[in-house]
This record gives sequence, structure tokens and C-alpha cells, in this order.
Amino acid sequence: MRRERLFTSLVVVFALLGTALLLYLSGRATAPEVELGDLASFEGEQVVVEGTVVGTESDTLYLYGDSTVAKVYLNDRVPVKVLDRVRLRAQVIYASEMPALEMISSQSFVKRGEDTAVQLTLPLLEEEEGLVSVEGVTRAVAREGIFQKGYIMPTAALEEVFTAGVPFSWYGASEELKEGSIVKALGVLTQGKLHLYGEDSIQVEGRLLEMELTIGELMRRVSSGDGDVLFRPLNLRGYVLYEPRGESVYLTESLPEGILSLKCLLNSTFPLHKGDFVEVRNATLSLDEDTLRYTLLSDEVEVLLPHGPWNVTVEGIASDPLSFLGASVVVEGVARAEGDGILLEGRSGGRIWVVGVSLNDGTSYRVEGEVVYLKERSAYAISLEG
Amino acid sequence: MFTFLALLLLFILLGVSLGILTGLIPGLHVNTVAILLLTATPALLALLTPLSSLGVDPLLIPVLVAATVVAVSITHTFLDFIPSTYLGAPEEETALSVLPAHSLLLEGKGYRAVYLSALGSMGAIFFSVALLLPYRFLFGSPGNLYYVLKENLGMVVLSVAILLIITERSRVPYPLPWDREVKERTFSRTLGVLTALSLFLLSGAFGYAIFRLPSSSPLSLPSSVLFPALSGLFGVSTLLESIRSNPTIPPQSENPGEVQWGRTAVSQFSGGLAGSIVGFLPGMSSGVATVLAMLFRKDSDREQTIVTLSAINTANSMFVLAALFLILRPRSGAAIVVNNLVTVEHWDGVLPPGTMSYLMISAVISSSLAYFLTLFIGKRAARYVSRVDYGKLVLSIIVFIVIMVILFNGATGLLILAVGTAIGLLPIRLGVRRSHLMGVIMLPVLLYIW
Repeated sequence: MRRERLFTSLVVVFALLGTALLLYLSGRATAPEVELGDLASFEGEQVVVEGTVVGTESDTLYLYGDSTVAKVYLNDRVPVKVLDRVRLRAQVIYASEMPALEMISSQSFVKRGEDTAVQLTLPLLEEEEGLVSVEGVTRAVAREGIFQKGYIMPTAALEEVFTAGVPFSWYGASEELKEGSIVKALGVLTQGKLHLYGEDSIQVEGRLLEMELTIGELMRRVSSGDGDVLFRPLNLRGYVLYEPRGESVYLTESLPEGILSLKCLLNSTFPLHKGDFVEVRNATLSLDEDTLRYTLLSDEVEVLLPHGPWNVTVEGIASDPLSFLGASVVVEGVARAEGDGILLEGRSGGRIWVVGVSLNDGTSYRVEGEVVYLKERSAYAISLEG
Repeated sequence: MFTFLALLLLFILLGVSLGILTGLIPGLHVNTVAILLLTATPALLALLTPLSSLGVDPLLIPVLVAATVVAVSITHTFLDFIPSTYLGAPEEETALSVLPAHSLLLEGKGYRAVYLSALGSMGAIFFSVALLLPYRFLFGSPGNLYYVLKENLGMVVLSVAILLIITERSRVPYPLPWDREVKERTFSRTLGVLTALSLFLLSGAFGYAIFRLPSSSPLSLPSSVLFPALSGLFGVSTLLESIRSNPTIPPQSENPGEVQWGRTAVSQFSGGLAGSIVGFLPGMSSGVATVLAMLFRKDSDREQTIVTLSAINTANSMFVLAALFLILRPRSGAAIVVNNLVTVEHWDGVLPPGTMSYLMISAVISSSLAYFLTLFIGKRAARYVSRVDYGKLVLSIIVFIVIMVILFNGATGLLILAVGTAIGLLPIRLGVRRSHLMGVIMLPVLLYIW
């Protein structure tokens, strides 16, 4: 009996000590739980993070939490969708404005439930921050590197110049997202701007205004000798490619730059601007026998969707200034004094003159003006006069 | 269509063969095979593409592989009782059955234990098929019981744990300072409950620690901490205790004996019910269902315990599959593989989706085959087990488990096995129920939920 009691006592002691040892080892093996906004101190280390999925790509997901969006590289398939609340163990690759992490293994990936996004109605009446979803029509869609940006406007207020909409920046891009696309978007609203991530954060559900007869189709029908387009009046829709000069305007199929363009001669001047979506009515085709190019002749044009100022970078204007000449643009940059003038410097170092207003050297600005050519400087500038 | 059905049968047979392997080899779990199949899926599907030249719709080819996975899963639940009985090497699902099965083995009724287990599993299949449609309306719309249970999952698990502890009936003897004799006294029942609580908390702490430990195989094999933990808690501890008692395995009867069909039917039903419910719930394994079923059974007869536990195991596998189509959530490794292989259509009508029907066919056919295979293999094992020196057999099994733990879990696994064994010896030494050791899963689940 004594031996039995001794054996039992030994077993109890071993069980208790062994469990204590395992608890100690598990504590040391566990990575610290960190908020997404505090990753800066853990660069290069393993952490456990929790957040809401705001976007996914084939091998990446975007996590939102603590007012921060982090990109997580996945090394394994995990079943996840937007708005899932997840917890995972990852290695912090770098902790910059958008931290990047690499998931350690799918075994540490745990789904904790689902979050909901606040459904916003445009125009925004209140200051909102955080995870939101919004529906509307895209305007002023432009591509900037790996981003696509623009505005999402309420369908009922398309012609108000962007004040009723919400600017968006999509960390991603798609050919489907164009001017006048009807969209549902889900992302993070910060300081009045909607940030979208991943392939499924914005869904294109249709086009507000269809192209109907396109320039490309017109040219195909012309080539095939289709009498309906060669000899009869036609209606054509397209985007104004350049700011019109006089009575001639160039139309293109898509923005920001279309592959095909067609020259239109209008009998009078119309208030058209670069990027406006227009319909030219009762137009006839005329062939210039010298250049062998077709021109559309019409005296009737209607603006279906005005574009408004173009959101571009300084470098974007500098690389193709003729394309923007006369157009209204919105540009961000840092003011630099140069001689008796002011230059606006973009993020990549491109520069353009700014006239019509005085800016403080070294200060960041967001300016809206017209692209003009300064003969005295033999350079292009953004004019804030008028 | 005929070609597809013939191929379906072939793939089911393949699944049954694999299920025999996973069922009979301790440590080789369905999830291990499932993970291997998932990894090999693209290559498998590419290999099977030529089947479309036989008139098989290419979209149905993944269904064939999914049917194999289902067959493995169901067959495993029949066959895994054999090593549990004869070798004392359980998995989570069979952990609590080791003691009753082992005691029958020591009475020369090892085959009877296997027979009862097969009856329990087969009964669960009949139960599952009969109740599939009612469950469609109970757990899916309009009943939506799944969402009700999920919302209150913490309370469910906590209630089970509390019931488990307070229903401990053992009277633990203790000495007094003036009377050093260890015997049952006034507060022995209270001490029994306190002992149960302590064991539940200790095993819970053990479970909490091991789930946070990284587990990796030195051979990069799929690794789970549950294998060394449960082998220690319920397997090796039982085997060590049996070595200490120096048993001799008597000749085993190959006659399964008479069955009390009425009580057996109740056991099949209660086991099937518990197993079916936890098939839907996250974080709830068939081990927890076992505790639940045993609590509500007044009949603690060891034979009916075996029937109940086997029914739970098999019903759980069936309803995990149903849950995939009802609530679109995979609740097991096999279900995750199926989810990745086929397009899972939501079952929101009366008739189940086509894919689900094929998988149910796989489950029914494989269970029928597995039933007879279990009896055949169980009988053969009974014939030879008594000819072996049991002490050496047990030692070899312990060595085998240790080797498997090292291969699948490395040095960490060895430590877990050792500590688990010590904890597993405690209820035996202290005379309380071993089911309190399910705290190893229940307490971490509770902490996870809250």
C-alpha cells in the first residue's frame, strides 16, 4: 500500500510539474498579440494580429484594424472573404504606412466571426471613419501606377462637380472600371477618402450610359462599306480626348487615353471639356482625301456626363502636357520657390509651374486650375487665375 | 451515367481500403490522409481528366475524389475501434471507449467489444439517413437551430462541463491525522467531486498549453498535438496500468454473444443524436459529444457505453458532411477537402443537391462494407491476440506509439506524451471517472469562445 501511495504521489507531482513546464514553454512560444497600428516596433518579428478582411487577391489579403490597413502575404490557401474577422500569426516584413506581413502557417489562421460595414448614402452628411460600403457611379476615373482613383457619385447628382461624391483610391485596377460605371464598393473611409483594396472591394454592376455605336465599330463598318454609316446621319458617343480648340474636337472610346480617336468638326463652339462623355447627333462622315482620314461633321452635340477637373499627378501632366492643355486639373504637390516663380513638385520629383496664386515654399498643396502654356518660360503651368 | 456510377463504386472501394489503413494504424488519422489528398488534388484531377473520354462529365470527376474522402472518413469510424480494443491505442473519438473495451478484452470478449462497436456505428448510419431530412428543416431554415446553438455555444460547453463534474459519484478515501488509515469517510463524495474538478482543470491547463505549442514533425509529416496528448491521457496510461496489474489476455471468444436489442437501439439513438448535433457546432468534437451522451444515459453498462461511443463517432462523420451543405461550413479535415474539391451548393430545398446525394451514396455503401470488414478483421485479431505475451505486446505498443509521436511530433510530442500519461494515470489511481480528462479539449474551447 505504501508503495502504491508513493507511486500515486510521484505521478501527481510529475503531472503538476509537467503541466507547469508545458505552460511555461507555450508562453515562450507564443508570439505577442499586437494591434495593427503598433506594428512599427515589431519589424522582423513574429506577431499575432487580428483584423477585418477588407480585400483579397490570389495570394494576399488586406486586414483592417486600429485605423490601419496591413497587407498579408499568404503562403497557404485559407478560406476567407471580405468582412471576415480573422486572427493569424505572421512575420512583420516591414511596418511602413501600409505594413506588410507574411502569414506563418494556415494552422494559426482562425476566423473569429464577421464584421459589418456601415452602408453610406451619398452625399455624405456626417463625418464617417472606418469600414463602409457605398453605391454609386464612378466619375473622373484615372489610373496612377498600381492605383485607380476617381469619385463615386450618387446616381441622382452626377452633374454636380464631385462635391456630392466621395473620392476613392483603389489599391488595384480593372479594365471594367470606367467612367460612368455603376459600382458597389467596400473599403475604409479615412478623412473623407475611401480606400479600397483587392480585387473584390469594388464590383462593377453595369454602365450608366452605354456606348451604343462606338468609334471602333464605326470604323469597322466603314471599312466594310456599310452604307448605313457612310451615307446616312448617325449618332455617336464618346469621350472628349483633348480640350477643344475652336470648332474641332477629338473623340475617343475610353479614358484616360483611348487607342482610337475620331475628329469631329462642329459648326459652332460648344462648352466641351476633356473627359466629357458626349453624344454627337445627326453626324455625317467626311473623308479627307489628302490624309485619308474620316471626320465627323455635326452641329448637334450633348454632354451626357461632364468630367470635371482631372485628378492627376505632376508627373502625369509633365509626361503628356499636350493632352492636358486647357483642361481643368487637380494636382497635389509641394511648393518650391524657383527664381521669381513657384513650382509644384510631385511625389516622384516632377515639377510644373504654378501661376495666379502665391504659395509658401516647402508647403504641401492641392491645387485646382487650368493647364496653360507660358510663352515667356517656354513651359507648361497650372493657372489658378479665373 | 452508368459509367459514372461504376467509377463511383470503384472510388468508394478505394476509400474503404484507405479507411482500413487509417483505422487500423494508430496515429494515422483521417485528417492526415485528407491533408495529403488535398495537397495532391491538382495532380489527382489532372490524372483523372482522361475519364471524360469515357463519357464522364468533367465536372463530376472531383466528385469521385470527394466520394473517396467520404468513404475513408466513414470506414475509419468503424475500424478505429479495433486498435483501441486490442492495442489500447485510442484516438480522440475512441478515447473514452478504451477502458470498457479493455475490460472486455481481459474477460476474453474482445471480439464482442468490436461487434458492439460495429453495431453502434451501423445503427448511427441508419439513424443519420432517416433523420437527414428532418435535420434539414431543423438546423437549416426555418428551424435555424444551428445559429441558436452557435450563439450559445459557450453556455452549452460550460453546462456539459459542470454536469460532468457534479455527477461524479465516486467516493475518494482519505486519511485523517489521528487515523492514518485511508478509507472512505463522511466527505468522500465531496472529495470525489473536488478531485473531478481538479482533474478537469489540470487537463484543461494541459490542453491550453499544448494548443499554443508549435508542433512539427522532423519528417515534415502532418502534425497535431492532439495525437500525443490523447495517446498519453487515454492510451499509454491505460497500457501502463494494465502492465502493473500483470494481466494475461485470455483466449478470445469469436462468438459475439447475445445482444439486448432494445438497450442497444437506445444507445445507437442517443449516440447518433449527440454525434449529429456536434457535427454542426464549431469547436465541439465527438469527444465532447461522448461526455454529453454518457451524462444523460443512466445506463453506465460498459457494453452500451461502447455502442453509444461508436454511434457518436460515425454519426458525427455523417453529419459533418450534411453540415457542409446545410450551413456551408466544413467542420472536419475531410469536410475541408470535400469543400475544396467540389462546388458545395446550399441545401435549401427539400431534395439534397446532386453532389451531396453522391456523397451520401458513398457514405452508405462504405459503411455497409466497413461493417462486415470490421467483424472479419476483429475476429481474426481475436484469434491471434491471446497467443501473444500481453506484457510484451503492450510494451511493443507503447514503443510503437512513442516512435509514432517522435515521427509526427518530435521532441515536443514526447514531452506532451509523458505529461499526458501522468495525468491519464491520475483518475485511475484516484478512482474517479476518466471522462473528466476531456477538459483537455473543453477548457481551451471555453477560453477560445470567451
